[in-house]
Amino acid sequence: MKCNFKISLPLYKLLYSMVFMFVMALIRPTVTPIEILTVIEPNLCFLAIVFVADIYYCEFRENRINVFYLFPDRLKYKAVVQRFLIDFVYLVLLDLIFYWIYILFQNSNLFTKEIISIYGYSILMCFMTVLFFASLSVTMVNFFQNMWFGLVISLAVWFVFNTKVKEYLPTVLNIFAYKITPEINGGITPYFFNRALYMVVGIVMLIMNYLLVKRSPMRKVKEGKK
Amino acid sequence: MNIYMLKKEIKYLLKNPIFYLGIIIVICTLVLTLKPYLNLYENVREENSKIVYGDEGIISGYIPTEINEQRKQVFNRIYESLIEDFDVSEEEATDALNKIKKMHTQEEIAEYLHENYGISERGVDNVFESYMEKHATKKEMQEYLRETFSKSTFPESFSFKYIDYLGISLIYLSIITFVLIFMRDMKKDIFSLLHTKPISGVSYIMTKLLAGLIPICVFALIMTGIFDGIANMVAPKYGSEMELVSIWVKLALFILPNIFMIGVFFIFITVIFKSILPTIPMLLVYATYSNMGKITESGYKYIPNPLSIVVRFPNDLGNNYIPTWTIINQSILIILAICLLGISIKLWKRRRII
Repeated sequence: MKCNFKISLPLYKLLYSMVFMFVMALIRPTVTPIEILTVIEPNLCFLAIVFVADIYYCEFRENRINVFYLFPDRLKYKAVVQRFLIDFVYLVLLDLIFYWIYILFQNSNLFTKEIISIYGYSILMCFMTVLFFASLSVTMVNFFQNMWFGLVISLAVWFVFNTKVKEYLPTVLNIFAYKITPEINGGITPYFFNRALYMVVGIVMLIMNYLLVKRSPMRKVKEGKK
Repeated sequence: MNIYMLKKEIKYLLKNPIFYLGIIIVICTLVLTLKPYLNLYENVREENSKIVYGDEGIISGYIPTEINEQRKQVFNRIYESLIEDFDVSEEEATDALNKIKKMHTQEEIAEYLHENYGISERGVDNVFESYMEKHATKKEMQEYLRETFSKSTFPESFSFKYIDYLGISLIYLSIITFVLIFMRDMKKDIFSLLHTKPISGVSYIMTKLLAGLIPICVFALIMTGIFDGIANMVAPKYGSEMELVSIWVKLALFILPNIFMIGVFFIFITVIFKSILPTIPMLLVYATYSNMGKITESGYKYIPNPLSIVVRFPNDLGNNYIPTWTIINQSILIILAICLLGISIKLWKRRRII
């Protein structure tokens, strides 16, 4: 556990994730508290993709994969899940903290009665969407056994949900969807069904990693052929 | 700079399918966003259909409403609103209308209505905004375009929009390109090995920088040539003269310094963390900062931020302008990029192991 903690949360990761959230809170103007959700959620998902991408791939990068591959499958999978959960909990903690930092940095209009209920939304939403994007990133990287290929695919999915392309998707498939509620929450309320759906997909992908870590490293096969 | 290494890096880059994925993203972004400007008659309304007002922009077939027409519509709306929403009698509403008709500025009207009837000043502004543009017929659009492009040409106005979108989409291509250039070197064994080779820090960093910049710049030049040609082909359709130079001037002033800065910033962050991974979110933050406006009293407004790597040109086609301080910002950006380059070279020499 201690070893996995060191691997999944090195100092540079802590540094850049903090800087990312801090600067984002400084530069992104918001008028209503609900707008914080529309800023924190997608950006935290982007961070999650990059943050967890190398939790298994680091074994390839650091040339430890030949030894790691000799571990029993159950232990390999356990290590990956442990590292994933450590990063995931850290990302949710970032959401918990930076929501308030965001409110502090923005204008005083954000101090309304709704901030506590929106805080609850924020935790729930980030729990579900970060789980999906983090799981997607790990699964893609492990599937291709190539971090950049996995990252490009995961980031492409993220871009689809954050550009005009999402308008062509049915609401149920739009992970960052909101419904218009003029009377409450400053006009919009998040759809939780879509997010829950993607969270289930994320959990399934995480379980599938058991099969992916069982596979022999491709690089080893290639080197053997040479 | 090492020519052999430069050639090899560019060769590796051009062999990688992910680089072409980045190029496809840029092409798709440019085509999808700029296509509506090349056929402005597509969304105009039928000759005898009802006039609709709004603020949809020229690509949706809307042109600015004449001041007198806008005021007339706004006064009608205020008159109706006073009676229906504020329970004012018809006589009193007519009296108020006669008073505001004599006023010359929007601020005067808003202040009067706020003081006497409690209508918020923002609300009055919104009413004016909702009649700012009207859905034009083909004839009206032709007249508007002829008038607009008699002052400046269509290719010149189009170049603002082109540079606007090219700047944003090139950030993604730059991230992909520099990731591909650095990904081999940031492995634990290769990173240390590179420091044992007889290649200086200046030579290594400059080669890597140029290996990323050259393909991006060549691509930007090709795309600019194509879109300049298309804009000049379309110009006569809008009653505009041809103009070939302005797009290239804007490319040199507002795109090339930004790409240079993105490349240097990428190298700087990569060398600090000795990993490419942190650079991707950092560049996203930088791009978001550059693209952000500010919330002013009149609502959200694009105001260029210092040291931004994206230059945006506010307003619709034909009315775009270069924001103040942009040229100075670009100059400071180049100076800062050179400083960061120097620091990156120093850091590369000092950091020998991961």
